[in-house]
Amino acid sequence: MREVRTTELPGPGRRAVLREPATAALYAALLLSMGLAIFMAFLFAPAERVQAEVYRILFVHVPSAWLAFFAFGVVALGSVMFLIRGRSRWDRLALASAEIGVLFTTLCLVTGSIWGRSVWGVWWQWDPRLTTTLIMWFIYVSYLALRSYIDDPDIRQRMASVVGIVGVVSVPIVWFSVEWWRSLHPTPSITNPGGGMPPEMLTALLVSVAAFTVFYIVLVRQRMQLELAVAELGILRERLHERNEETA
Amino acid sequence: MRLGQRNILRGVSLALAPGERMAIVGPNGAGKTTLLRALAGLLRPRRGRVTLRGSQSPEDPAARGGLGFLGHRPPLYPHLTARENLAFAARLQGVPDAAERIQTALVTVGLSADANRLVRHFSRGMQQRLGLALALLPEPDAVLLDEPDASLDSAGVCDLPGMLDALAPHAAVLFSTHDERVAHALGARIVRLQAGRLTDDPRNKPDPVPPAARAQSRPRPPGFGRAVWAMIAKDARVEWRAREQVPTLLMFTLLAAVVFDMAFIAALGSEVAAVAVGVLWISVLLAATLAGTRLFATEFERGTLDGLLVAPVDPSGIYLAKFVLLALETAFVGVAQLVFLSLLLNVSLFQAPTIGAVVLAAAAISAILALQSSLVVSARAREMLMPLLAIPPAVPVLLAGVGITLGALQVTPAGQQGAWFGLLAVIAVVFLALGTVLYPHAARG
Repeated sequence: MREVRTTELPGPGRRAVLREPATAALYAALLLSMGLAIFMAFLFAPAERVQAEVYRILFVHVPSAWLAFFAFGVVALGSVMFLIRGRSRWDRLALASAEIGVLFTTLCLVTGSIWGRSVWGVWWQWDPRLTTTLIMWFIYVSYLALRSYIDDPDIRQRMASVVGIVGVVSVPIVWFSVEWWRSLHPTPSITNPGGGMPPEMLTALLVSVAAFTVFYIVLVRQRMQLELAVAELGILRERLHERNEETA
Repeated sequence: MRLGQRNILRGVSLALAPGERMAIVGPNGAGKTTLLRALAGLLRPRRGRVTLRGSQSPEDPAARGGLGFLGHRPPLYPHLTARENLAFAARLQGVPDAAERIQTALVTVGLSADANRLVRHFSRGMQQRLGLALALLPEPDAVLLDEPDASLDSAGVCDLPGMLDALAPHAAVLFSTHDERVAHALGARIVRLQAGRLTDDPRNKPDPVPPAARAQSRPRPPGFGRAVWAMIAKDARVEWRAREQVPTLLMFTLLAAVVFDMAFIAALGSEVAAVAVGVLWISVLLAATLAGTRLFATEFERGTLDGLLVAPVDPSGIYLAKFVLLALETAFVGVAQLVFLSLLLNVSLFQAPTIGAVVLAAAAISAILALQSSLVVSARAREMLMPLLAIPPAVPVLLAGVGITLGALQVTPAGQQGAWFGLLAVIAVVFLALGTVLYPHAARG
């Protein structure tokens, strides 16, 4: 049997991941920004007058929420582009972004719940922002479920793209929920000029958002490469199968 | 062309002139069905293109007007008669002088005596004959037949050339078969498909059939609205005959009223109005989800979805017809639930705002679920997946419905009802627009 060479395949090749300049730069940016964000969150930003140290969960909660919105926006973009262009890499972008978006939404809900227990005295409130966020989480979990329930890759990509586009309707609903309905949840602290946040806190929060965004880019890139490797493995298996058939 | 991870067709190129017949012969798994489905526009090739009449894509509804297709399973509705199945196809194809053409087709395929029998009483061979009549009904320019001799008895196989000569004499015919005798009987050129590649049979003697004059004027595909109406009328007739959905949904709704009332009243005691509102909207959502799961699945399982997709109709019309059907069913069970709960719990739920809310919410839920239903047809365990996919986006509908109903029962101030109605209308319009635009992308494999 002839050996199947991986150099015949499309994709990034076999170079060690960290030797790629772009990847190395991203990892360096991640380490630096995360280190700075941790320093600023715990040592630079002052304690809050009412909540004291508990409020520092904000530096995880807000970036998670921001990245959830951003990630689901990218899912919609990848889905639209896939339906227009038909290139699998757009679908890989949508898939990677959806998985990471669900991860950050989960983090946002968990940190919000812990914070709520401290501030409101309960783990959960049927508040518009919390409820709509939970529904958004369900929508994207069902997006991932749909993908896992369809075996044919072509059909899976198209059906998932439709859900990826429909699902993004939930993002503005979550964002504006605090303005449309009476909510216990505070209005956005970064985009709201009268938010009343001291400059040190705001700076620490912006650095944290930036660090989490770099983290998102690293994760999306890795996940897309993993998905590409899975697709390549499928092609290799198929070639092997075809060669075996021809030999037989 | 790839199917899953497998390359099914490679470098396949063929062209057929009017009147020409070509048989594709090959072992199981060679790619015959995939090739025919790609030519019919039911599968999109990753590379390459299919053209009809020289330049038009089969994805263009107008181009499909000249196409006759019969797949592995004839696209037949078992609860319609043979004549009704043909009449529905004639309406979608815009066949001129339909009654006369249907009668000719029935006589040609040998089913004139069974024209008014329900197809569910037909044998497999009779269904295949009717499938051939459906494919050839509009006197197509191009005919694609996947094993047309399958399930036919020896008399049926002998009749096959006569059927083609009588109903589509000028058409370019491409068909797959395992039996080379069928190819010879039809005077077809034989090409072999093996491991995704086509080769000409060296024994071929070119014997093209000269194009004959059309027996009837060219079909004129119906307008979008007429096609949607034809599909709604067909679904209504099928449901009237089969009684598969509405009676079951009514029983489910009554059962939900009884079971939820018992459980919630035991828990909430005097909060009867709140119980009624909660039970109403939960049961509407669950009933719509149950019906929605079957909406496209039934067409998919029968093979009739292929028939709709090959018809010269914009696929958005299929989504809209299914939306209307689901909205009617959901509104019906919702209004029935208003009656059940009013009687069982002695609350005045049956009033104008609540009826309006049920009807508008049925439209909004159906706009969401009709699209989701089309997405899960190819999924494993679609019955499990559908609620997971459909319920989260439908939650705002539930909230608006609850808001309106609580206002009507004066549990909460009635001032916000206008805003809730507005929300329902916005959801219905947004999802209808999304479904109309996105369904064509979900429709073809």
